[in-house]
Amino acid sequence: MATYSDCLKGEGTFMFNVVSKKTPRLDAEAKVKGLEKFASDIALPGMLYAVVLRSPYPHAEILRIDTSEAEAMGAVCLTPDDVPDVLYNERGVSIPAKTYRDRRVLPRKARHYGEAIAAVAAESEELAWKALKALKVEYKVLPPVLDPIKAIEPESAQLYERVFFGEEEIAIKNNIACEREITVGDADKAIASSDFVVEEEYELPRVYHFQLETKSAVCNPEPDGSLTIWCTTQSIHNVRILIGSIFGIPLSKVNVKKIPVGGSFGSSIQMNSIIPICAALALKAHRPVKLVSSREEDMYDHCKYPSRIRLRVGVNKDMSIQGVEAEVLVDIGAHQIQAYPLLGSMAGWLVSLYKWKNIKYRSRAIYTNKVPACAMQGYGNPQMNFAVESHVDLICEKCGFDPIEFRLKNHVGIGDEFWGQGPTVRSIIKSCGLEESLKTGSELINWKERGHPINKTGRYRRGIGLARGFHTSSAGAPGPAEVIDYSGATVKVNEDGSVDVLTAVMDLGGGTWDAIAKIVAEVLGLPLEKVSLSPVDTRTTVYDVCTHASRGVFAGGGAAYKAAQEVKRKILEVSSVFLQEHPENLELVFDPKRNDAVIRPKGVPFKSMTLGEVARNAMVTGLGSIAATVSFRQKTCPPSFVTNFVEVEVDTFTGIVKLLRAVCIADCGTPINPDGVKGQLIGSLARYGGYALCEETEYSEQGRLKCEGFITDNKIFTTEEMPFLNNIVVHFTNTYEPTGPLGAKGIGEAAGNSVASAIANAVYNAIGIRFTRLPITPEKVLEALRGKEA
Amino acid sequence: MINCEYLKPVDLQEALKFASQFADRARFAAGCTNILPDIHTGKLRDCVLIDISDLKELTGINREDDFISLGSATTVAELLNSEIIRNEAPVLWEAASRFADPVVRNRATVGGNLAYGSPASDMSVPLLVLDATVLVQSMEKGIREIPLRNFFVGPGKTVLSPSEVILRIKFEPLSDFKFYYTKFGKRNAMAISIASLAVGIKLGKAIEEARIALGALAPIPLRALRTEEFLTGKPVQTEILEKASEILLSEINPISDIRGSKEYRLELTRALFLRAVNNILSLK
Ligand SMILES: Cc1cc2nc3c(=O)[nH]c(=O)nc-3n(C[C@H](O)[C@H](O)[C@H](O)COP(=O)(O)OP(=O)(O)OC[C@H]3O[C@@H](n4cnc5c(N)ncnc54)[C@H](O)[C@@H]3O)c2cc1C
Repeated sequence: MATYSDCLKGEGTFMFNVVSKKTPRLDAEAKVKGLEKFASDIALPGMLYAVVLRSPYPHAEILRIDTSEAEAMGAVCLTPDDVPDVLYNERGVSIPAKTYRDRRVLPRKARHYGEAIAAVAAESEELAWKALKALKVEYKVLPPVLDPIKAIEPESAQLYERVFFGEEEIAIKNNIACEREITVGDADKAIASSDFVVEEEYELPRVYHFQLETKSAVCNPEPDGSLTIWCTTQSIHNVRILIGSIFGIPLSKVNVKKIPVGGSFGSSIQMNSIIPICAALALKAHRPVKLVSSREEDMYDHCKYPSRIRLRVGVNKDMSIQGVEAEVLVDIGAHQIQAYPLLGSMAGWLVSLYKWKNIKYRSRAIYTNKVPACAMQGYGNPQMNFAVESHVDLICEKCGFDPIEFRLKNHVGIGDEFWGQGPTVRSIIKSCGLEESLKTGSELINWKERGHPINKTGRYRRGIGLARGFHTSSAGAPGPAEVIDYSGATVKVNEDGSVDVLTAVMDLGGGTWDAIAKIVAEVLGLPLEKVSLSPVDTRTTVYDVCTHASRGVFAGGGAAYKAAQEVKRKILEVSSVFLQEHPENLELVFDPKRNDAVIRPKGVPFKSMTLGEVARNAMVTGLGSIAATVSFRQKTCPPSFVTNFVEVEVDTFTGIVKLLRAVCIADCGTPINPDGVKGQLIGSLARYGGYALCEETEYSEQGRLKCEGFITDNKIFTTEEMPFLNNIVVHFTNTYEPTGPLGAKGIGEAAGNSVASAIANAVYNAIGIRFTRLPITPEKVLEALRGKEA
Repeated sequence: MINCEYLKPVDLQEALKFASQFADRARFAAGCTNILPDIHTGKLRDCVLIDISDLKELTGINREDDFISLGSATTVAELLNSEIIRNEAPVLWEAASRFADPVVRNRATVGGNLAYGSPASDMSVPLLVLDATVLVQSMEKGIREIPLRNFFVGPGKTVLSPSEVILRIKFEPLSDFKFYYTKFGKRNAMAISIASLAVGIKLGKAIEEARIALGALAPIPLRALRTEEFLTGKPVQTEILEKASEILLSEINPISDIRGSKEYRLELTRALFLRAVNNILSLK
């Protein structure tokens, strides 16, 4: 099979002209100059400003809200009585029958500190704040449930009595939000009869997404009775569907605009809770309303899933794994955003890492009075990866195996089944760069010289660690599944031969829009500057589910690829009239001399027309516009494999762990934007360096974030914590995904899943201490070192 | 309800008059990097802000005979850009370079940093080790000179009365000392100190004089006077330094908070102290 580098050289099925080449970001100038308009930049004439009243208690019934004083100040007030009595789930990615619904636009009971319980809109932000202070709320304070282990004890307070699962109303017992079990073979028996059994429990912290843009929305009720929405989101169509169903408005009268998002990391997969609040205020006021979250509010809106994972693995002396038992407990906070599919996905990440043969997987999601957890770059994968990749090193250490050989022997690869999004989303792996990654990476980091912790002494001790991971590209599968996954695109040729692309796919800052433009340019033989992405909305695009699951390029780009192919077919058809040739005899290629797409009879270069000439002729002769719209579902979910090697230095006097060097190796098939892929890998190194070493948003006993929502005490990595740039090596394996657009797979989430695991393994290699709980702060390192000495 | 007024005096005399007139409500406002967050979070509700950021008596970095004199409204960025500070007070320059980030450094002032009285104040540690003196003035008390050593009283508390403004900060550069400054936070940039430490040593055949200042390790930034005394006249030997670090730990009184536990801070202090001394010795 041809690889992407063959295509670059012109030896593959394609000769790449645009794809896989470095191109400047299409939005670079607007962003650098501060001209890009995000939701919070939208301002409309006559607009009101909204602010939200947030619960000062982690758990309290709201008995009464007196709005009279605020209303007398001229503010429009919104209380639980003013919103539709509808329970919704903010995430529209799972099919409705597999979706839990437990929340209202404004609740009758606050279930976490900082939960929105009322809102006001006024002529100015200042007046809105004054009016907000004038709201009088009577609470009945309830005991909070903060510890997920204690939450399931019968004497604990209950967050919910009943919620909906699909259309069925179900009872919630002991704060258990949902459970999933998966069994393959007989793990107990297989483990009992193995040569070695290795058991350990791992714990992953609560961290905040820290996307640059805080969640924002502007809603405008239009004269025709429709509602226009500009908001921070990863899915304009799902926002539209939810707003339509909550407020009972036909979808043709809800229009969500596609605008840039200032980063997300998964925090806006769901329709953000402020959007329906803003919409309800706009509908009540009959005026445009703007609602922008502060950083503190944003930190009280979402977090990554904190998880505990216990693993018990049986292996034989020949390095073959016999079985795994995994127990997972996830603290989901106050609402189910996507706990049920998360538990399924975590099972998928587990089973797709290694050939366990026998599997017993039990998982539980627990409600607590804390910020609701939601997807965050990897969707349970970094958590599972940390447990499994730490455990693999533990097994190798205990049984005397070589960590690279063990991984090579047992990993899931080409021809095996991959679970892209839980048990119902599966496909067969057709491309895999893992073997190459391990080989190249170990050479680049000098793996053989890493030494053993026993032999390391002195104040500063260095260690090298490795972990490998992957992430799915989309939730595509051969048949219908629990997860909705399809996309769409319109491609149209303009009258001068330039091209407009209409897609609902969101770009979260990673360069998805560039990739889509490049794919279309490549298929149509055009230079990139002749392809533009149109500003669109839900009215002008066909459905795309969401930019999540690393599907933007693979599924969104896949739909654009399909539409471009359809347009190409039509171009050849129309050209055949002018060139007096059968369409089958014609080809559409990029002509470097003219820097344009040309249509010519195959092998007859002098008899050619540019795409512009064809489009103009079609206009003059009345043959019409050349365009196509497709709705397209990917039928596979190919994994992108990423392997991380890192070197750390531990200061045994202070406990500080410094990241010295990193090698990031990615198999993402064809890297459509090579600089973009590199950016994802290095960005994820920073993101998950923080996850490994410093990030955590802990709760106080009063049920409030210890950092109070301030960034002062919630540290993510800066460039200062990163290795110097020349100590970061990025390498792409030479693969080509046959089911992806021009050979591409995803990268966004794969880039980060194994970083923290590699760092923890490197710390072990430096000081011989295995940390099973993140983050590995200097304080914990020192404590562990003292414990070891004692 | 937030109730803050803003006044812009034309000169120092007017500033002092306003301060005296509004008494307890008066607040001198310099870079406002402490004041604005405090207003935002409701810690500061009722006040009259008196803008002193460009009063000429409070600005400029000058040499005056043997002393370097800083206006209290000098920003951290101005310290970093000053040749005088870089060449003659490198310990202060080093601390400035580790202060917050460039955006905050453009606004944050030295006077504001001292007057706010945070135990983690990053300007106080290098200035303490330089044994700086603070020049203050008010209508009621006139001009006073206060050694910085005696300036801090408790977390957020200093000897300043509400109507008293810091005019300038003065210190001798001490060219015969070698200094070392180190700050430890949750990360390298833009972090509040978990512990910070500055050490100055005048070395002859033995240690002729030692100065040690610490931040975030007690209710106030402080000098470790007993450790200094112990080290004076002692030879540089591992046992001596070990003993010194033990005395040092008995002089501090760190708390446990979200940034670090008491035990960790104690451990850290020992490590930072030894690192500082080793650095100074290899610097000579
Ligand atoms: C994002 C951020 C990061 C920060 N990082 C650090 C850090 O790394 N290290 C650190 O030490 N601090 C840090 N701070 C705290 C703050 O920036 C400093 O304390 C700063 O030096 C205060 O100076 P200012 O001019 O802004 O003070 P202001 O906010 O203007 O004033 C602070 C207080 O001092 C009083 N005051 C100001 N000037 C005088 C004067 N001349 N005479 C008498 N009283 C006066 C005011 O009345 C007020 O009570 C940080 C703050 C922020 C917001």
